[in-house]
Amino acid sequence: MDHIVLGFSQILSVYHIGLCLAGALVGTLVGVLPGLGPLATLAILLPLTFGLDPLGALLMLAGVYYGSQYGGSTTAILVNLPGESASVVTCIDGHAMTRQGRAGEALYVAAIGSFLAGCVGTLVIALAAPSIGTFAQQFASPEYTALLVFGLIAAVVIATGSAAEALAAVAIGVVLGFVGIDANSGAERYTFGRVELLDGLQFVPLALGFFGIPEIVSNLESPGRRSVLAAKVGSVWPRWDRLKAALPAMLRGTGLGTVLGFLPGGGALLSSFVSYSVEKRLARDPSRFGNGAVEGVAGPEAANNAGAQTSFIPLLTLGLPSNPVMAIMMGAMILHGIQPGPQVIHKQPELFWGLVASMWMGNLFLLVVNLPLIGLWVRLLSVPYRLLFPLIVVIACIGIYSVNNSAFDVLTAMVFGAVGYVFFKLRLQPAPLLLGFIVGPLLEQNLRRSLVVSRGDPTVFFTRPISAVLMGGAILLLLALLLPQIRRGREMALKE
Amino acid sequence: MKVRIRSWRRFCAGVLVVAFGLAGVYFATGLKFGTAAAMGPGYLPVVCSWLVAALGGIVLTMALHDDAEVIEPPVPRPVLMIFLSIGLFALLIERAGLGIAVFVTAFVASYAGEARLGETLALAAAAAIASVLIFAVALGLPIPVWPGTG
Repeated sequence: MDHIVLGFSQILSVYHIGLCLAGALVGTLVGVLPGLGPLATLAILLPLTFGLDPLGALLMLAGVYYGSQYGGSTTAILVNLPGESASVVTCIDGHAMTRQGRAGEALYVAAIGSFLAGCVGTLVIALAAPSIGTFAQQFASPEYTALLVFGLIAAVVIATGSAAEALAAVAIGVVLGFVGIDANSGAERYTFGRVELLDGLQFVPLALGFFGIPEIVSNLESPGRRSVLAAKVGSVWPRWDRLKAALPAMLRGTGLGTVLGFLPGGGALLSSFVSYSVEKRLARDPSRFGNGAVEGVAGPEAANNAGAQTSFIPLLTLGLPSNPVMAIMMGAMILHGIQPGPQVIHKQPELFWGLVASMWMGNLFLLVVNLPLIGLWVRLLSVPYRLLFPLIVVIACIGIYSVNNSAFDVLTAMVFGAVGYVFFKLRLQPAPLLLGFIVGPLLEQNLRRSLVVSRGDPTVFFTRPISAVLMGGAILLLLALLLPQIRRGREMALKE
Repeated sequence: MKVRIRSWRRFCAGVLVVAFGLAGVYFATGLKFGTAAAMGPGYLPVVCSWLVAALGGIVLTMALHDDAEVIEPPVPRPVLMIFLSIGLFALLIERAGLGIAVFVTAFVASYAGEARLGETLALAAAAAIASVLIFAVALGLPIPVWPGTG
């Protein structure tokens, strides 16, 4: 309880509340724009937080993240365009409700469901994170190595399409993380004699190159996809009888999302998909789904927000980013000089609890500020894309440049944008690459340290209990990929 | 045995991954390798790059079994204009300053889509003025604003 008080005391200043609010609004603004999901939004806005103190920057980014998710579900409901992959399922029944003139109802159900889930998720973080953090403090480098290996493999196996391609992308990311001076020997690796590369590849140009630029180009390649709002929005003032019908689904979604958010590879996306299929299976009359069933909006929206919330736990307590959004958060923390891990809660409690409190605050803002602003977001949807994307390009360029005042970084982003575009065309997943890149240096450090201590004996990872369990889990996951039944089941699940 | 490529998407992806892995091995050959107990700077880059190449090999073999998948051909204009506009920003920011760089970038980027000259000029000018005001004046970022100040 003291901790929560500490957290709120950190952020209850006009400055910090303002940052959180600004983040939530800007996040919604960009999230409403077609085709820019939370990843691209975060990557584009990340550099703008550089002038802030670490807590302020994280507050703003957390606000941006929730805002962009909210913006994504708004466009899903109103114009059948998922602003992000987690709101794909919201399109199904949310847009059906809009066609029936019930857009207002869908919007407030989504907003209230998200808020409810956000509150529970925040509470779970506050309760669970300290003990996980304490547990993780007994980790030495072999445990860490095993944890990172397990986390990377699990994230790939659970969340992505082709496992071989995703594992390859992870490995490419790890190799890209080698660029720069080797901390142990001082030798230059993959620098090609460029001074700018001595510090390694920069995170912001890489993230923008793989997530921002390809999205803009692909939106321009298929301009016909945007549709306009056809029906009336209706009142966004909640009605109790309607809410009551949606409440059980919200609670189930919250529960599911909270649990699934813990998993590596879990988080918003997985939670919303699982919740939708659960709601459909539980319904007395499943045929309503697809025709404007309110549970089809309430469940997944609550689930994705709860999952988004609890996926902060592995990052904040273990230093393990379980999905690409968390990888961006981790990148932001590292840029601000914070190495996420078990020591954060103990060494920088004001930062940790401030962030937890701000999550709740961000959710509150989305409810009380964004719902009344719905008219504004609707109007924004009618601004032609041809006026918006040049501005997005400009903001991205200024953002990349301003991180280090480096024109080289802008060129790097262009090169990675080209690679990212090729990835996009070949339908290779860039997300595992980003995970590998961000986790790679940590993995190398711990792996080398473990093997120095064990004098080169790799069995060190299997003789210590915690690390043996994690390594065993990773091997089981890889073996599971080889079993045909499981592979087919997984493909079915991902398709659904 | 006849080898037939069924999925060109997989095939291209596999070639790309293998090429990256081999390049990774090649460019790390000059680095000291060391032993497992005392890894040199080149140890993990070489090992991981071989891993990349091996995984790429698996992707390649899958190209022989999968069903045909099409790669959608790129549309040249958006691709060229977006990358050109970003490249121009990198070139201009330190030579010509923020205002001119933003103007040129926004203008060129607009032509990735269906631009109209008058509207585009107005948009680029507005973007230039706004970014100078927001980033240089209000946020006070140390970005060169005018030519010759970089």
